[in-house]
Amino acid sequence: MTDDPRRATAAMLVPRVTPARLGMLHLGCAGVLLIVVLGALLVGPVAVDPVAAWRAPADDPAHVIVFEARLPRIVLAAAVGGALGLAGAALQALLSNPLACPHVLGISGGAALLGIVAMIGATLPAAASIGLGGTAGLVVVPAAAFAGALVTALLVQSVARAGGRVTPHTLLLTGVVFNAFAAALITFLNTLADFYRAQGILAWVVGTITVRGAAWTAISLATLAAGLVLLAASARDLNALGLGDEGAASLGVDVNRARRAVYVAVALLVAGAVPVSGMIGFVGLIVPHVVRLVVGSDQRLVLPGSMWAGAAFLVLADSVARTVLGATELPVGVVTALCGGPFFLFLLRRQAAEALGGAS
Amino acid sequence: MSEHGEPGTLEAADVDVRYGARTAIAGVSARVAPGEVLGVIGPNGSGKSTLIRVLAGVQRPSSGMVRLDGGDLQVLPRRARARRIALVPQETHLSFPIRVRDLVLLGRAPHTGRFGLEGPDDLRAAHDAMVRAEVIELADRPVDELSGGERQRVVLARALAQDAGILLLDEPTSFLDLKHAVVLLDLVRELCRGRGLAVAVVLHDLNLAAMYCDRLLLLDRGRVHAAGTPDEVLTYRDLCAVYGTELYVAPNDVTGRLVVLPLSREYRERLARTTP
Repeated sequence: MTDDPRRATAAMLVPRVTPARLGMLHLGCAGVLLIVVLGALLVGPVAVDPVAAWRAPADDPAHVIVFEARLPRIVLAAAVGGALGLAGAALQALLSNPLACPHVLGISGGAALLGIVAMIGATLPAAASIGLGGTAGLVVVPAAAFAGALVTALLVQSVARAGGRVTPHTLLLTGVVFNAFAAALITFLNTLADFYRAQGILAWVVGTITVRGAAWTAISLATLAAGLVLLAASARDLNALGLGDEGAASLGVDVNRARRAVYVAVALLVAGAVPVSGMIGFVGLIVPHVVRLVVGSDQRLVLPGSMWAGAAFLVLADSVARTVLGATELPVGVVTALCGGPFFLFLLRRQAAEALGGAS
Repeated sequence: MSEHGEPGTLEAADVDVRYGARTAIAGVSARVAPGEVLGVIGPNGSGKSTLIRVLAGVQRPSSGMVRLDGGDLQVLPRRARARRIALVPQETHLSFPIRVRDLVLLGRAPHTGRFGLEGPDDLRAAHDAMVRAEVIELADRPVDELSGGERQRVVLARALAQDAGILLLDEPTSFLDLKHAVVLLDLVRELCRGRGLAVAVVLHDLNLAAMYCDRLLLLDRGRVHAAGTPDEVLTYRDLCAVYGTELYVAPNDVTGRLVVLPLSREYRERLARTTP
């Protein structure tokens, strides 16, 4: 704490967020993620010597396990975790609600619902005959997931706006109801689909990192990059929105445009994540809280920090999911829910205590 | 010192604001000029805050027009507007904990680029604003730990960091004790005199309004009841009519300005007996 005016003056004139420092933040976080990824490469039901795997020929089992089984999955887990962490941080800032995340608000549910519809559609013989089968699903499924995410986000927004001031809990209840609705429809589709496809649909509901191929992973990474750029360009507006809509407007923020940009970015991120991982909960909820403990509440730092931390967290959680039961694999959504459920209750309790503690 | 926002003349002409069926203000005209403090007074619900929000450009009038130096405020880009007009709201809600320096730096948002990175000018402006508002020693304190007086000065520093030539304040003293209220208004007055800022301030306290304002606008149920100098507006007849209660209005010995004193039932009844 600086109570000496001269020291305060000196501190005041040093910028805390500069392009160089943002670059350092990204590089440092990338370094940490790299270490986590290297660690995760070693973990699995089969013990492999990484150095031997690296040197081994491409058809050697160790090489196959590390580079064809584990690495693609770890990269995908990082992309999905990054997207969920980033989307969660953006939603918490936009809605001024520490309990918000794409899963809790039903945005992941909306994306999964339309994504599944598209996926079933793309595998129908009729779809193949009009050129929408097979690899075309690559475009159709994320596009449908994007539409589902965006529609849900706008629905959430319309509830948040209706009747002026809305308690944080109203928003969450809307999300819960929407999730239940989406889950019911997904289960209904699941019942209609044949056995082979039904297995795939279940993976969407529980949340499992599903490597569908390099092209799908590339789509996840591309939407993550697009989401990051869009949100980094919205960080200033999100900071101003911390003062409320009118406070932000008086600082020259086009509140509606800022809101639209954030929802589009969130929908992009979710659309990149859900088709390859289903509905993984709590990553977007927990990660921003931990990041804010470290960097404070400046969104210029919280947003990139949440992306990297989300990536590292999901790689770790997926490593646990892959190994904790030996050869039997646990859906990663189970791991994140087991971590996140108690955390959510803790936040809810704290928020209720603050509300009771009076507005001082 | 970075370049200052130019003081300007802000004018509301025949403005109506309706929220659905409810009319907040109707046919209100007001003028805020450089080097002048305009006080907006009136009972609860008379439309004071609505008028300030219209002048700040954050509330669109249902009809009528707001002009900045003669040009339509609505067509001015938002960020350009925020570089000309700063608003100190009645209350500042913060959804996340934030330190004083970061809150003040938010005032630079209309000056920074897309990614919101502050340059030396921005830091200098925020620093000067904090010195001026006497909050520089609070720079690293979390805003939610401040007292009401400190917090209001910090919000003022945020508005000053905006470097706008027009300053609008919505009941800045309502949560402050007497000392903090006069400290804040002294500062506003000084900025107005010294740097030629155009100031409009909503005040509940008519005595502060009489002492600090060059001109007053008395609103009554969304309409202008009287406008002019404090001596012209703060008349016994007008105030009793608008506030709907018996008042004592007289100049005081020290400042020569008018003092407005509400009267309890006991004195109101005594007065009714003695004066026919």
